[in-house]
Amino acid sequence: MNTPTPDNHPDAAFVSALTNLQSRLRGYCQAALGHGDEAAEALQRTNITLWKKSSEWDPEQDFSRWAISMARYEVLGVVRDRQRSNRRYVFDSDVAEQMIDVANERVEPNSARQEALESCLAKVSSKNRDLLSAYFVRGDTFQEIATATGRGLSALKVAMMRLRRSLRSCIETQLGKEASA
Amino acid sequence: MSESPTQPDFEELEVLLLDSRDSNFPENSRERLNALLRESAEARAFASELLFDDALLADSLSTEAAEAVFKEEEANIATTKQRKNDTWFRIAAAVTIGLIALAFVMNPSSSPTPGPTVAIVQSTNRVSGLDHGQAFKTGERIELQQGRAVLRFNSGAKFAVEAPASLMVTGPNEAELDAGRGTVRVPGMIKGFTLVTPTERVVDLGTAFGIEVADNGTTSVAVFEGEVELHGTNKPQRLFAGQSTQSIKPRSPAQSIPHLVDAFLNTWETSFGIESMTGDLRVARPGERLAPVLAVDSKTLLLFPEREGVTLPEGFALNSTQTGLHERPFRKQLEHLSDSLTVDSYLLQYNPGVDSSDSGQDRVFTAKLRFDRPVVGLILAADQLKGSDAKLAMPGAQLKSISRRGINIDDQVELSEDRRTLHIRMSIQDSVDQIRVLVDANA
Repeated sequence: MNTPTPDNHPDAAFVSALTNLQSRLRGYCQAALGHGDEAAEALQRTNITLWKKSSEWDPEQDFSRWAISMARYEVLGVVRDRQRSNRRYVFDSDVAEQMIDVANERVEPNSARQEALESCLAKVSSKNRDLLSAYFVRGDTFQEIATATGRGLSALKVAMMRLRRSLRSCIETQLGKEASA
Repeated sequence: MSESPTQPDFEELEVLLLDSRDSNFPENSRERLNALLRESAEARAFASELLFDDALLADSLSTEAAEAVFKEEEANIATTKQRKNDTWFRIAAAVTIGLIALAFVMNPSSSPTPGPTVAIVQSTNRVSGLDHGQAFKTGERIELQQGRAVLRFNSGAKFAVEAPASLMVTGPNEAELDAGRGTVRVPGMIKGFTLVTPTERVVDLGTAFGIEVADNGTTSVAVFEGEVELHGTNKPQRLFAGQSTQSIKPRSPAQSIPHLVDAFLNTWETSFGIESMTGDLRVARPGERLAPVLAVDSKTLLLFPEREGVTLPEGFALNSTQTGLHERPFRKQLEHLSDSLTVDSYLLQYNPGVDSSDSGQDRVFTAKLRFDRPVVGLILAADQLKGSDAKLAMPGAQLKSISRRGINIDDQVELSEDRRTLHIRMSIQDSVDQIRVLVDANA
């Protein structure tokens, strides 16, 4: 068992493991529920549950497997609670359940993909990085980006599609090179 | 519904997924997206990969943005350090005259080495014989008999120490601690702060750590953030956050001990410039500080010290720079800085968790919070909180995942006339409340 610190606060090993897993937890919630408030809510619930149950984690146990099982439960909880909240949702309940199954298959650690992504991201022009940051980091909508940059809405969407495709292609090439090396 | 044998239209799927992020995503498009996913396992696999990649992309870009801000802060530290040095010389000249009267806090056997000031007293709390702004040169001693004080070294390192304590300032980035307990914090990218004790030599590698030296010289070290290196033997030992050691004899390897931080919490708080707190409020503990999203506490408000020494540009938007009472609505209460301002940031948060047992019941939390420097700005509304995260939140804090921010209609924040004290009253409605407090970093 994880030794709780005084006042039952999680210890540093737990905080570190949870911090390192944030990217995958976010990916899992997003892959199951789509873009939007529901995925953010599921991630928030998952983090809170993990924090509260930190004393149940055995450091000898695979943290990610344990944490993802909690995330699955919280994602299902968000879907279940739809009737009680007015939150906008993207995937219908039956589709969300299908997407959870796919997410469970994809959630295994894949640091090679993350490294490939970072390597490919380094090749993106500063103008396109600004677009990606506005969309993915600041959470701006296409309309907000169009207003701020003076670019057309359709042109922005096309640019984003091309950018994501070229990143995807670059990632696959990198992973292919590593596999054949 | 059965799976479709035909190849899904991946391009249409990608467009729909992109558009689905918009809050105005049309219902007919949403239905189409669901139909495509329902019909095809390939479509679901494709969508899953895209959504996972988007999360990876968001995290990579967030990390880069945070690193860029750190580099900018580092450049700011370099330029402001010269300005601070000029100020410290002036303070040193004025304080030198008063040093004779303060001889009882200085070791009479120690003759101060001529030279510039290498550390100043940033704040004191119930201390006698040590003044705010008091300057120290290499070789000067401090004997603390009561209370707590924060020493700020020229390097930027801060050492919060509590009585009884005996130490000597030995340089702009080093000191000797003969006895006493304290917290060392080295903000930003500064490294190499060294604390020498009778049995250990602790070298900071970008960190926060607690240290206690007993009367017999036994030295205990608890690393809160980052890492330190112990140079008490020929073979340095590296310690990471969450680890603690004890060194009993000089030139003997330090032994691991349980990582208990409670003894250091007083100086941990003091090191962030918090002079006093009363009411329903506590400072985030080591570990909690870096992850406010994860820190759930339905019984009290939490204060998270965030980035330090951040220069906000002219025109930066906040809700108030004024003293007095602040409450919603803030629409008419938006100010833009008329000049750049260097601040330390603090996030005050209530986060009961989503399954709070108090659900449905309003509770009122009141607290009084006093800083050792003036409060120069308040960020109270959700839009300005979001807009200031990139500059002021800790890297990786992921505040964006909090879906409800800002404070409620009944909440009140009052800044005293001397700008040091905040009176906070929050009516809690089972949701996340946050405000951001900005303190003058150069005062």
